[in-house]
Order: sequence, then C-alpha cells, then structure tokens
Amino acid sequence: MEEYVKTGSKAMKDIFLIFVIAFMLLFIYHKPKGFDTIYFTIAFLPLIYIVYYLHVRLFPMGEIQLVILSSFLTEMGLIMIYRVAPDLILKQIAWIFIGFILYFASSYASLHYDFFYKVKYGDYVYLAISFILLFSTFIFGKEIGGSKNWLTFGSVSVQPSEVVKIIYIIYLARYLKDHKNTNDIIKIGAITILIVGVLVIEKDLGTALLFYLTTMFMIFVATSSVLYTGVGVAFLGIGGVISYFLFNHVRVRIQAWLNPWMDVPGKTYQIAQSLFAIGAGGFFGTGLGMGHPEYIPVVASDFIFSAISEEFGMLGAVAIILVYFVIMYRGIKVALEAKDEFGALIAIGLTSIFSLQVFTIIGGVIKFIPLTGVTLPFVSYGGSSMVMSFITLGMLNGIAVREDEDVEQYEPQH
Amino acid sequence: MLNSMNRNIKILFAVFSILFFSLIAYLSYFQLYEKNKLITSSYSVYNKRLIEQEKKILRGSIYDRNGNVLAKSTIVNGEQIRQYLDGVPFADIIGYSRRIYQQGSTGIENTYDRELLGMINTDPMTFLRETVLGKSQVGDDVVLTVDKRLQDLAYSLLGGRKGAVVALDPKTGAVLALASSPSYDPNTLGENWSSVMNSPDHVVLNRATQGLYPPGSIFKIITASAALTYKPDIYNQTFNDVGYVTVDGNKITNYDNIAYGTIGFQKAFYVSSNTSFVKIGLQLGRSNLEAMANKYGLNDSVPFDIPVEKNQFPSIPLINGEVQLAESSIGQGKILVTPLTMALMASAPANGGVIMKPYLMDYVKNPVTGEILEKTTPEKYLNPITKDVADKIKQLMIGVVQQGTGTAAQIPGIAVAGKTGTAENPHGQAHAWFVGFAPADDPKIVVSVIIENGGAGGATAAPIAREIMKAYLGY
Repeated sequence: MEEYVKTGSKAMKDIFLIFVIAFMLLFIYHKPKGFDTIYFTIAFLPLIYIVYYLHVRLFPMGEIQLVILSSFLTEMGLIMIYRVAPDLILKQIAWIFIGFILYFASSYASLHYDFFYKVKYGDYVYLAISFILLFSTFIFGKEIGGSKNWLTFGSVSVQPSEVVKIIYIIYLARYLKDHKNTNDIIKIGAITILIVGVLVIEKDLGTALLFYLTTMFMIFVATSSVLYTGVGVAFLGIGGVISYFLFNHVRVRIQAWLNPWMDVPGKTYQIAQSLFAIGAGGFFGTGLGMGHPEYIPVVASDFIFSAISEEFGMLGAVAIILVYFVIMYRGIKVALEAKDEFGALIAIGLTSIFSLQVFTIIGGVIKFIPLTGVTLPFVSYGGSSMVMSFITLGMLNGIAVREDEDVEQYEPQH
Repeated sequence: MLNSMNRNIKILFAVFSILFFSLIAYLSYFQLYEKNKLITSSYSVYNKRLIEQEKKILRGSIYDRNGNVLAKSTIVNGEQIRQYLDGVPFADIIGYSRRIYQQGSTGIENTYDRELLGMINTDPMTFLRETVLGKSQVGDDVVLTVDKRLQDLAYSLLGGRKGAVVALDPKTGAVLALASSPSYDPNTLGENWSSVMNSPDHVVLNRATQGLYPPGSIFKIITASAALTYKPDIYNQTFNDVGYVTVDGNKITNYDNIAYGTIGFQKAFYVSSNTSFVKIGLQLGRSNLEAMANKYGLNDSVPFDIPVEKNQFPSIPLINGEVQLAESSIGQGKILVTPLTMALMASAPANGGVIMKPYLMDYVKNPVTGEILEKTTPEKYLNPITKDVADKIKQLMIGVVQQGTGTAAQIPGIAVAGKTGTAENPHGQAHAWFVGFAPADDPKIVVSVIIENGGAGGATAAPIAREIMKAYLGY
C-alpha cells in the first residue's frame, strides 16, 4: 500500500515535470500567447495534485492508476491545445475540473450500482431516455463539423449520444444479466440496429460503430455464444455495404480511406494533411513547437493525435497508445474481479466503448481504418467527451471499490 | 456463470490488445515505408510543410560526375531562383521543382527532394545538433553519374529529331548519359508553362525511360540468348533464306526483301535475317522465348531514380500463337520496351551475363562539410544468361559491326559490338534502333539509341552510338 502510493507520487511528479518543460519550450519557440492564459494553465497542476491526494484518501482501495493516467492524458491534451489553439485552453481546463468532480460523483454512485439494476421498469426507462436524447437532435439539433448530433444551450454544445452511451451500457448489462435466449438477443439486436441507424442518419458514423461493437462484445461476454458473435459480424458487413450504397457520407469516408489522394483540395483534405503531419514527425518528432500541426483541420479535437505524432514523433504517439492500453487493462481487471455479473457487464461495456473509441479515432487519423469523427478521450478538445470519459473511469473505479469491500460497511476513511 | 464470463472477458482483452498493437504496428509500417512515398509523391504539392521548408532552405545543387554544376539556387531580391545551367539537354533527367507555385516537381528534383532540402539525417549526432541549434539553412548537394559532355553530345546528335540516347557503364549500372529529344528549357518554365505542358511533341515526356517502342531486330539478342541457352544446337544449324517465310498464311519478309540463301546462325545474326530468326523462334517454342524475355526483365518496370514505364512482353497464346511467336522472335508484334531497358539488355553480353541495376545518383554530400551522406553502391539487377552464352552473344555482336548491318558504328582501332534494329510501327516510317558497347574485350560503355521514324537502324542510329562511344573512350 505504502509502496503503491510512493510509486503514484513519483508518477505525479513526472507529470508535473513534463508540464513545466513543455510550457517552457512553448514559451521559447513561440511568443507568449497572453500571460493570463499561462497563469490559468499553471492552476492545472495543483488541481491534479488535489485530485490525486483526495483519491488516495477517499478510495484507498480504488483505481488510483486511472487518475494518474487520465491526468497525464489531459495534460498532453492541454499542451497540444495550448500549442495549436490557445483560445480554447481555459474552457478545456474548466471541463477537466468538472470532469474530476463528476469522476468522484460517479465513483460514489457506482458503489451502489445495484440501484441501476433495481429501478422499476428499468428497461423501459433507460430505453425511453436513450431514444428521447437521440431524437432530440433531429428536432433541436445543430450541425457541427458535418454531423447533426449536437444540442446547443447558449454557448455550450452537448452531444447527447455521449450520454446515451452510458445509459445504454447500463441497460444492456441489466437486460443481458437475465435474458440470454435467442429471442432476447434478437430484441437487443433490433434495438441496437435502430440506435445505430439513427446515428448513421445523423452522420455520426464513429459513435454508430462504437454502439454496435460494444453491444456485440457485451452479448458475447454474457452469452459465450459464437453464433451470436458470428451473426453480429455478418450484420456489420451487410450493414456496412448497405449504408455504403445508401448514404453519400459513408461512401465519401470509405473512398477517402481507400485513396486519400483522390481529392486533396476537397474531400480528402483532412486525412491527407494528417498523414503529412505524421510523416513529418517521423520516429522522434519535430520537437514541441517546431512542427506545423496548424495545417491540419480540426486539429484540437479529432486530429489531436496527428499533432502529437508530428511534434512528439512516433515514439510519443506510441506512448499515448500504451497509456490507453493500460487503462483498458485496468478496466478488464475491474470486470474480472467484479462481485456479480451485472457489475462485470457494466465494467466490460464501459471498457469496450472507451477502448473502441480510442482505436477508432487513432486508427482513423493514421488511415489504418476509415476516418470517423470521434474524439480522443481526455486529450481532444471538447466538453461532452471530457465529462463522459471521466464518468466512465469514475464508474469503473466505483465498481472496483465495491469489489473489495461490501458497500454496506463501506465508509470513506478520514 | 462467472467462470465462463471471465474466460470471455479474457478473450475480449486479447482482442483489444491486438487492436492496440496493430495501431503501433501500422504506425511503424507507415514511418518506415509509406512516409517516403508521401514526401516524394506528386501529392506533396499539398504539403505546406515542404513549401515552408523550401522557402527557408537554400536548395542544394546538382552536379554531374565531373563536378560541373547542373542546377543551383541563388537568392535574387530575397527570393530563391532555381537555375538550370545546362537546361535543355538535362531537362528530362533533372526535371523541375515548382512546388512553391503549386506546379509540383519531377525528375531528380522530385526524387531527391528531401536531400536537396536538407531533410535527411543520417547520424544521430547531426540530428541532435540540428534539433537543438535549428536546422541548417542549406540543402544537401546531389552528385549524378552523368557526364555533362556526353549528355550535351547525345542531345545534339539527336538534332531535334524525336528519339532518345542512353549510355551506361555495364560494370556498375551508372548512367553516363540519358537524352530525350525534343526537350524544353526548365529556366523559362514559369512563362511557358502551358505551351510546354501541352506541346504536341510531348517535350516533357522522357523518351529514354517513358517512351515505349517495339524493339525490332535488336530483340534478336534475346532470341539468340534463348537459342544458345535452351537449344544450343541451333547455333550449328543452317537456314534456307529465300527472303520471306510464311507462318499460318502470314508472310514475314526480310528487310528490303533481300534473300540470303543458305546461311548459318552467325550470318543470320550479322545480317539480321528475319526469315531465319522466325524459324529459330518457332523451334524454340513460346515457353523458351517467354522465359528468356522475362529473365531480361521485359515484363518488369526497371528500378531507377526517375520513373520508368513498364515494359510489355505479352504472353504468347497457346492457340493461334504461331504468328505472334514468329513476330515476337524478331521483336515485332506486341512487344514494347523503353530505350533504357534496351541499354540494360545490351549490357548483359557486355558484362558476362549480369545486368547491373541502373542508377543516376552517385552520392549526396553536405555542401559545407563535404561529408558524404548517401552513396549508391552498384548492385546486381538481373542475370539472364551465363558467362558462356554472354561471350557467344558478344562475338555475334562484334560480327554485326565488322561485317553485318552495323558497320556504321565502327571505330578505327577499337572493337565495337552492336546490333541494329528497324522497328516497324503503325505510326509511319520504321523506328531506327542501335544498341552496342565498346571496347568489346573490356566494355566500358553501353549505348542504346532510338530515332523515331528514322528508318534503318544501321544508317541512322548506329553513327550516333559511334560518336558517343568515341567521345567517352577518347578516340
């Protein structure tokens, strides 16, 4: 335990050091972009320290790694956002702050995760909320970046599909715990295809893929059925082909993937610029502040990984991937050690959707798979994504703590 | 239940691990292989980083093998100007670099863009130094294997006719001259862009590497190679040459319809008897001829510093293939080759059966320290024939120049080996070909010449090859 905290503190010191060096470098290579920005940014360091110590005190048996790793990722995000779009950095810090609060809130909520199971008519409640949120964008939605999946309240834009992700995972876990017959799986399949269909029409292809694969993985874990998984893969193929012919935006994405040079000034501009950036970075990177990530469109959100690849090189990019790998590993561990099937299914659902999101966006910007616009959790600029990523980790933490101690007797230490 | 679930969760963990590590594997693959293609491809006109770099860095110079400057950049009124000092003859090799004007780049300027912009870092110390102190402001110099004197001579010998000359060192594959005519002046490309690009004579086409022509009788080198390799007794046969031969009702005639009577293999080669070589091809059969053509790389695109068009030797069909086999044996029909490929073909008998990989870049050096950053080492490309067969072909080729169709290539006091070709084609008069090398006992230069619609190879192309060989060998 003591050893554990010591290692943790050392990691936090390294995170501190990286931050200071990075900002000093940016200071040298670029004229200061407003001193108040610097002051506010420096406030980030005490914030993550407070969160770290609070976590050690409140959840001594909790998943402290998740806090350390997410602190590192948000820090990398801040460095890159300060580099490419300094105007956004204050908002991002505010979102990180809210994210940390929600991390603790969702940790506590998940200590009592049985509650989600006991809700009366839970199936209908969760589905109703999910569909209301999804359809709301049809009516009140606003198109941002080509996808009509945003709701705006004043100056804040929210992506309802981000919220639906978590509600839908709870719904699936609850339903799959008791329903494993073919008819039940067909029902789930139908509902999922409906949700995925709505997302495809809203042009939110990345999220559609995440929903589909997460559902498939959860069904596999709950039922052990190779048949269902096989049918799932087959449907994915068929659905992909149908939507290719049905929707122009699907076609554009696939074609841009097959040939990113087809129309560089137009349709494939983003992916081409991303590849130029990654190529320019090489193995060791150009060095922070010395590349040209500003040539990549939407670099602060969807393409932040390309900017990291350019300035930190492939080695930096691989480091980021490995950090996500460890988060994924911790999530799997929480699922393995969960007390009951419901907890395990929620944990596996959260881990799946998180890991798939990471794979989808990184794979997309490096042209390994077709590009779909999802954010890189904790690193990309964006509120909904930041908050939901923290809630995901918070819930994993809650389920993990629940494993270790029976919640009835659980009292935070003081 | 939890037990089977735990097994499933572990399977899922394996799946996610594979996904994550496939990202890392793909990134490595990208950095190792895709990246360079990206930087040198024509799409790089959209890469603003290279334009930035190009404005900041004084682009490196390009030299010939003797240190003559072929291209250099100077700063005039704060703006970089690229000068091509021997513009027209070298335009098809060196190309142009007009990325700043969104017009892309070609030739050596394109292939060695990274070097010329000083973007290569061979040793970690240089890399570290440049990272800390900022990149040096001068690009690296590229030194070519070509000889400016020979290149100018080749271009002037072409005399404005459409055609190409390739000269190379058979022992190393180093290209000594590579001329394509007509050409254009890269120095005035800014003003003349559209007239150059849309020229009806296709002046930007590098005929030496991208022009595809039927080889005609110079292909008999390959037919003879196949005969000596697969059916050696053909060498001692005699052929009754009446000036034509009929294959499946199609009449194939000798050049000028000359009938040579009863002749041996050697004489058939010296005088380039179509009639005899059709008979040789039919005896060899399709599989042997195809095998030898493939060994000479006639279905490959030659690896080279600048783009090379893929040769075409379509496989001969089993049914009704007799006519096509007969035509192929004398280099007619559906065969298409580049002048560079034919120079490589001729270097096999010159170099004991081994064809070396052709190259244009000798080395890249840092202009300040003189340090050599990249250097091409000669490497083997193909080995179509044995030393024994190579020597026999060489003797045949010496005979062509001494007493056959190639006498116009003779140089007093030195043995020249060669083969002429007169390639019939659908676009008017025949193309004139000549391939050869000298000195025959220790070949130092291989030359391939084509003059489009130039008529007989012996009369039109052979004298050009002779002048190039003379100039290079100092006779």
